[in-house]
Amino acid sequence: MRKLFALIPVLFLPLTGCSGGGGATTTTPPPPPPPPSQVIATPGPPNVESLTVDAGPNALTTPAVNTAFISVRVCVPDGTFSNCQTIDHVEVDTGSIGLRVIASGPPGGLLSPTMLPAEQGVATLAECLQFADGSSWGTVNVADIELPVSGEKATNVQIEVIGAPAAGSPPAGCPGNPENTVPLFGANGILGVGPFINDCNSVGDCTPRNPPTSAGYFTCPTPTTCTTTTTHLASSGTHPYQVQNPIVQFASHADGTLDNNGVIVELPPVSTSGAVGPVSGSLVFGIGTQGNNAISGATKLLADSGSGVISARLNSSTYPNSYLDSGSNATFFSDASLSACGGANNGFYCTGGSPVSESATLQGTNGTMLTADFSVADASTLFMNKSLVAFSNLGGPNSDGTALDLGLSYFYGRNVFTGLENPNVAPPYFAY
Amino acid sequence: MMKLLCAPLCALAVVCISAPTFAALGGDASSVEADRASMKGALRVTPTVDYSLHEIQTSAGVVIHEYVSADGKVFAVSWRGDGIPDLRQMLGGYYGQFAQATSQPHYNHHHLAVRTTDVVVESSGRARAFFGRAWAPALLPQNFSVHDIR
Repeated sequence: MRKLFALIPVLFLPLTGCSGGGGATTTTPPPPPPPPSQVIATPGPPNVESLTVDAGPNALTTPAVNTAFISVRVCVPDGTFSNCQTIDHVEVDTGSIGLRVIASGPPGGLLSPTMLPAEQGVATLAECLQFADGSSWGTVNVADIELPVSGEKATNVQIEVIGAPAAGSPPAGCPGNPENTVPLFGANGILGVGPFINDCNSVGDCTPRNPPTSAGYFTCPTPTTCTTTTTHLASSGTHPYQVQNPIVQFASHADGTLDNNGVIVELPPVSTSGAVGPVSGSLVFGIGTQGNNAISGATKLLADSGSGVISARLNSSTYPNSYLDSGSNATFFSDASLSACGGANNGFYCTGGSPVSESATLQGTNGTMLTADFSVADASTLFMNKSLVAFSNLGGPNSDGTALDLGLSYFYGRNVFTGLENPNVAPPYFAY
Repeated sequence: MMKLLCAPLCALAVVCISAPTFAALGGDASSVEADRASMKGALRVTPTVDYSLHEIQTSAGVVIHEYVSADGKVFAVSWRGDGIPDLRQMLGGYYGQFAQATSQPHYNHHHLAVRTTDVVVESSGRARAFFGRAWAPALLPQNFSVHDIR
C-alpha cells in the first residue's frame, strides 16, 4: 500500500521556520522528539560507545551521508593498553565483519608490523575483503583494541591494516576495485559488527576458492609474491585465524558480564528535510547482557543462518533476501514506479515533488512479522543543502530485485538490534 | 587470464591467434565454458526465442548467469552468492572502462552502480550475500528488458 504524504503525522512537532527550498540560508526545522518507546543509552562504561553521524574525516573528497562513526583505540598487543592510538571516524557497519583500519590514515607509525605483529602461522598474512563496491587489500595484524568511551576491551584481535606496505599492491587473486586509502574508502576504518562471528566461514576453514569467498587470505613472503592460503576458526587454536567479529573477543567485565552477542545502533529521529552533523547517538554492545540492552518490546526476526537475510513484502512484491544494514546509506529496493536521479546522484531515487510513503512487512525465518514504514523523498532536494548529513527518507534503487536493504535512513528514531549467530546453535537476528 | 604472445610463426599468418582469455561479457559461448571450468561449476542452458541463459552453479552455491544472444555473444552476466566473482573474468574487455569509472570515490560499501559508454555494472550486498549484474547495451537483443538480467 502506498500513499503520498498529504499531512504531517501528529506524533511529530509542527514544522516551524522556513519551508526550505533554494538558498544556502535555509533553516532546518527542529527534529521531532523521539517516540516514547525509544530510549537511547547514555555513552559510557560498561558498554555504550558514542556514535556520530557526520560528514566523515577531512580527507574525504565529498561529504559522507548517512554514515555513522565511532572512535577506536588500537594498541600494541601486550595487554597493558598503554601504547595506543585513537582512530576517529571508524564507520560502524552491521553488514560486514571485522575491524579494519587504513594504514595511511591517522595512526601513522603505530600501524607497522614492528608495533603490531603480524598474525602467526604463515609469512605475513594478507587479506582481500570484498565489498559490493570494491575490495580492501592489506595485512592482518594483531592488536589490543579498546573502545574509548565504553571501555570495552579485546586482546590479540586480528585486524586488517588496509594498504599496509608489507602486502604490496593487490595481486591478481584480489580483483575488485581497490579502496585502500581514506579518500577512496570513505572513512579512517570500519568496524564490522555484522551478524557472523568471522568474515569468511563460521563453521570451518576459509579455503581459497574460485569465485573467491567474501574474505580471501594470502601469505606474502614478500610484497610481490602473495599466494592464496587457508585460515582457520579461532576456536580451532590453529593459526592463522580468520578475522573475527571484534565483539566475540571482548573481555568480561569485573562483574563477570560480557557483551559479545550483538550490538544495538541507537540514533535519534531527524527532521524530514535532513539534519546537519553531528547527529549523536549510541552504539550499544551486547543484547540482554546489561541493564541498558534488553530486547524488551522489540520484535525479533530470525535470519537465515547462511546468508543472514530475512524476507520482506512491499507493494505486492516479495523480497526474500532482505536485511537491515547500518553500512548502507539509504534504503535500497527495486521499484519500477520510482526513478533514479540523473547524474552523480543516480544511486538514489528522485521522486519529484512529494515524498512517497512505503509500508513493508518484514518476516523472520521463525514466521514473525514486523512492519517497516518508511518514506522516500527526492534525493536532489535533500542534497541541495550541502551541510546536511543525515536523512531518514533517502532511498535508492537496488540492482538486486530480491532485496529490501533497510539502511541507516531507517535507523533514525528506533533502536535496531543485530544479534550475532551462535554457529550451529542459533541463527543471527534483527530486532526493533 | 591467459594470453599467448605472438609466436614468430604468426608473423607469417594474417592474424595472430591468442589463447582464450577467461572472458564472459562480449565473449562467445566458449568463454562460458572457460568460466565454468575455472569455477568447477555445473552448467545448465535454458534456451529462449531471442537468447539462451547459461547458468553456472558452483559447489559453494554461487550462481553465475551468462546471457548469450542468437549470434553467440554474451551480452549480459549476473552473479549471486556468498562471494563476488573475478570481475575481470566476468567483464572481459569491458573491465577497463569499469575500473576507470570506479576509480572515483563512492562512499557506499554495499551498493555500486556504474554506467560507462559501453557497459553497465551494478553490484550490491553485504557479507555472504552478494548480487550483481552487468550488460553491454549495444549487444542486447531487440525487445530484451534488462529487468530480465537477474
